[in-house]
Amino acid sequence: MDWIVETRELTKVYGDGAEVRALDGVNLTVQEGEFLAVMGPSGSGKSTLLNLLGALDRPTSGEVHVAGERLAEVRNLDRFRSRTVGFVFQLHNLIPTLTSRENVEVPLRAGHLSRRARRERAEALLTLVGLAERADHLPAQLSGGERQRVAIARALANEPRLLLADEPTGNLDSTSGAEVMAMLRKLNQEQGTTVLVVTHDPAVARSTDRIVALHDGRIVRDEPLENPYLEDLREFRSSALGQALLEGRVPQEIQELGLQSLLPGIQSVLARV
Amino acid sequence: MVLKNLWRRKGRTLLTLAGIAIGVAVVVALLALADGMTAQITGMATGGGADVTLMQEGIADMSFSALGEEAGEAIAAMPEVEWVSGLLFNIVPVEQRPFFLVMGMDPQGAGIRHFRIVEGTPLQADDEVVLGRMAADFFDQGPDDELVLQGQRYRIAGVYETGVAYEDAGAVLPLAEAQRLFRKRDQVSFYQVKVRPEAIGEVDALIDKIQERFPDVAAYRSSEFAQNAPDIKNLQTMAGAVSLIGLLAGALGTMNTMLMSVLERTREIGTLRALGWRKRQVLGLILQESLALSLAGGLMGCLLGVGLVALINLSPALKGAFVSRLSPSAFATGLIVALVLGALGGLYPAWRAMRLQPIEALRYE
Repeated sequence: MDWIVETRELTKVYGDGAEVRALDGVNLTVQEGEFLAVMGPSGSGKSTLLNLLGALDRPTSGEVHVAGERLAEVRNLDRFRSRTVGFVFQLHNLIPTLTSRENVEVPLRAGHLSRRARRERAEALLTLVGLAERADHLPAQLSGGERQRVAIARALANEPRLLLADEPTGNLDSTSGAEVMAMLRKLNQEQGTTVLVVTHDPAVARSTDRIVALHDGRIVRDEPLENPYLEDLREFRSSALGQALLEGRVPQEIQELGLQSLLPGIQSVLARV
Repeated sequence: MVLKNLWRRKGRTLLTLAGIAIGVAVVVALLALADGMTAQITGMATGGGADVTLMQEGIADMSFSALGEEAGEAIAAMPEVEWVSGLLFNIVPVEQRPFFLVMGMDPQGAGIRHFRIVEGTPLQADDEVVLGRMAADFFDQGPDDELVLQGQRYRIAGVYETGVAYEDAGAVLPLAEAQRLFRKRDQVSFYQVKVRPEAIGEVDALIDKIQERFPDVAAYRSSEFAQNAPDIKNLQTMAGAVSLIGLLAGALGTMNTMLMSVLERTREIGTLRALGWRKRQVLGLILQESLALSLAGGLMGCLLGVGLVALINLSPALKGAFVSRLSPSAFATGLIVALVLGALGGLYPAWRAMRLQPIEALRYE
């Protein structure tokens, strides 16, 4: 198998006195070309995992291998970040005084491209994310979704094999959020870039191919998402109404809807998902 | 990117620029003043064709210089010397002029020959004075008018021109009368010495000989006299001290500005690092910003310095007293001061920015 990401017993502990185990023995493998979501409530360790995969932070123990390199052995982490991974942040983190094109050029400045080559590459990337006509706009002149798309173009500047997105839809309305996810899906399919999205939003997670759920620094679930409707049913089961129906109760407020007669069937369905 | 970053906080950048510019302007103006004074004194020392100029050894200011006339007579008797001319020099207030240069010279001596009379007659009697062209214009006086010096009335015999502003803005009295008026009997301030043409290769030997024989006389080649004059040295020391203070103040101001700027952009710097920028590149970005800031401040300071010099030259009361000369070296010094200040002020903020941990910086609100 061709793994692009492999972690072994990855552990990160913060603080000296009251220790916080942000990650606790995580074993995760990601195949080249996957599109997956790491999900979990805040504090579950999902951002910590992303930072370790992107070499922004070092683990307390355990190992990270990305694109065939063991990160603990990589001497030039800046070059690794520049060539192998691309980051998309929750807040787009665009530089406010630079235009879209200039922002996309920023990571290219770490390399040795000529001014003209940088410009051409930035324009191609903006075309890819559908913002060619916004190349000379400043971030303040763009909508939230457009800014995030510029940030995606910037993350792709050095043709990374792995794109790491930390809550990329966190600051967007649901329409813009869906647009951004569709953009990431397209990149995954057309460019073959491996995309890992960190989110706490089940709807966002469901638009990927695989969900890794974290809780208290441990992986509690890791499965492919073959059937989004099955996910919908699971979400329903974990809702207040779903729980009541599973226990064989129809809440007072909706008794006239005639659910009582369907209850055995619903119960058996919910028990199976 | 560098310029756009600086322009983000226009007010702060402009204030820092103004601070640097004022410091550099003062440096440029002081150097221009020192250069102007050097040129003037060199003009005075060489104008009459003298090869060697003497003053008193170890004085703090040229107007204190006093040499006995017996030294002049002894030097005049030396075989390699063609002529010796004494000059008594004093600065007195006259009417609206706080600084008025009065020179006492032998009306028949060699030193006065290049004072070309353009109106009236040369000096003849002890109650006469000749006035420089600029002074005559300033006082609106000419031949047969009166000039009052230290309460004494003198008849203006004529008006002269030498082409050296210090001289043309002053007046010349007969040496004996100047010695009486300024109570410096048998004394002169400087001697000018002309070497015989056949001995022109022995000027240095003559200087050594004079200094050996008269220990309290300082002898210089006339062309090098100005650089050795204590007044010039004082002015240059002052310019140096002001430059140093300006440099420190400017560096602190630049450092403050750049530190604020780095702090505000912590998250951005974290983003740059996450996008693969090397530490060295972050360091370079901040240093370039501070150097661009100081270079712009330096250029503005040079312009402001020109303005300051023009303002001093405009003042009629100071005309002739402060002659400044803007030389390329004054501008170069101003710009070097600015760049050093930018490098000093930018280094620490750039180092701070370089040391930021990307993950901490990204979390910064």
